[in-house]
Amino acid sequence: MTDWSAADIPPLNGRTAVITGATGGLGYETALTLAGAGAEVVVTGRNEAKGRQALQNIRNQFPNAKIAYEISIWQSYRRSPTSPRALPPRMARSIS
Amino acid sequence: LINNAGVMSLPVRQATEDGFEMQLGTNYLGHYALTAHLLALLRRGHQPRVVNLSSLAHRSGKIDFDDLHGLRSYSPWKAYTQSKLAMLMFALELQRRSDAAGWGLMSNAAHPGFARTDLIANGPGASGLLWHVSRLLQPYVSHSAAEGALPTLFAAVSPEAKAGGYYGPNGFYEMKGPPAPAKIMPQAKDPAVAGGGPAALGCLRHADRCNVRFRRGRGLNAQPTEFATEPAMKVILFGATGMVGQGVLRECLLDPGVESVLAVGRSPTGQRNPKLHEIQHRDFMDFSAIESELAGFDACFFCLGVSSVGMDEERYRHLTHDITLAAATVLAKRNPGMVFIYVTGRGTDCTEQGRQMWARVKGKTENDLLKLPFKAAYMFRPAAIQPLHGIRSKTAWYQAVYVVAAPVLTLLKRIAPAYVTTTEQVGRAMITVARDGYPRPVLESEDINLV
Repeated sequence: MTDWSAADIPPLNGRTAVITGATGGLGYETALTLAGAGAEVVVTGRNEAKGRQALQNIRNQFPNAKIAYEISIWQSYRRSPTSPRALPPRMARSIS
Repeated sequence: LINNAGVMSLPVRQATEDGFEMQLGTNYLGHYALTAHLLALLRRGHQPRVVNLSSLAHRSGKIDFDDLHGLRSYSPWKAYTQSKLAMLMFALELQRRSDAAGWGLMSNAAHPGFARTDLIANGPGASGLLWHVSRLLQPYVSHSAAEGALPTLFAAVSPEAKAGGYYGPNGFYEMKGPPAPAKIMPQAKDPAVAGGGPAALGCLRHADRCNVRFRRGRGLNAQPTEFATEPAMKVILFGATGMVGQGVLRECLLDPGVESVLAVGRSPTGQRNPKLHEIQHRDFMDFSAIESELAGFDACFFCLGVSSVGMDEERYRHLTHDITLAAATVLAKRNPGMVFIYVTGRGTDCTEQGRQMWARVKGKTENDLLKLPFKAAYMFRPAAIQPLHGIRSKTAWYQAVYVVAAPVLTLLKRIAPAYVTTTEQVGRAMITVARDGYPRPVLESEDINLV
């Protein structure tokens, strides 16, 4: 594990990550890196403007990033509480 | 799931909407509740991981059970260190519980070391001592936010990360550098607090001590059961061989939130599953022979129904209303805590006066069910139902219609999503509503899809 870096991250296509408080700081960096590695990423945060900005910034770096912002993960959870498959299509909707 | 959100060292005591001290509420309790809610979902994922963000600050943390929310004396830093200690304990405890119950989760924790983020500016602000000290030392001991995120990323995706592990930077005092195993202070492993023994479920118990409910859905205080053991919802299912019933049965058997299913019907389901028990019963007007077996259930999903086509009102009323009420009356008597869910259809007429015979009969059935002394009763009124996962209707002409209509339903789902639901959505919605409740007793298609 010596000098493990983001370059050591395996491809994450088909994986889904939810990161709370990811519109800035460490959460944002985590989301950016996971999205860059191919994961579908849901970021949450209370500030909607920062949320939109975060998505924009991530897409600027990774145009194909599968990423969505939810002001509250409770909202997406309630829409589909039992299906991991259900998150990505929901994400698609909240992107637009 | 990366439980990352956090606030640090708020100078003046603040409280969350639920009345928790803000740092404990944001950094820990919210994540605790979120994880509990997402647990079933996580367990259905592929090699799921939960990463909790702790901090170097956990080292000076202490769980102050006598003043958890800083009501007697509030110290910004004490509240922060307590919340970060709680996050680390939660990570370790979640792993223990997953191992004990065979959930297959990897739960671990990470901390960023000293990363340059807005956390300090959002907390103590640009005037505090910490801020001045930070600024002075920053160039020597801190690293960027991107570098600070590496231990979290390592914990979340590296094949080398270990269950119950804790990762942070490998440099001096774990302040900067690439990720490596980090030091866990003894108080984070304290079994009396973190919850090994029956005496104190400890850390995870904060939430029930606070005894607070979210505005909707399950309260925090309901969750330790989910962590402690398998959640125990026992379901009784009528009509398990019908189209809707098959879908509901499938979801019940898949959902870890359902402990067992008893299918009561005239014919066997033909399925084998350790969670599934069956009773074959012929006379649906008289349950006295099996009444004692109909006790001890949390929910009943009543999916028995016939088509009214070619049937006179009396016969349809008998098969729809009388049979349902006969079963429901016995169940209400035997299961005072039961949630009863009945499948009717869109257009059901609760005035019981309308022109459509089936709608009147269904309406009377709904009205009478709602009068029974269940803990709660819900009427599901799906409009068009699309069968999924190879489920077939028993009514031959329905099945023919479904085969022909499949593309139409798919199209309809695009243009009128509120009008179409699937057997899977009906099943999932039943489980969720039985567990969490719903603001209204009648759920139309769009409600079912939204639950």
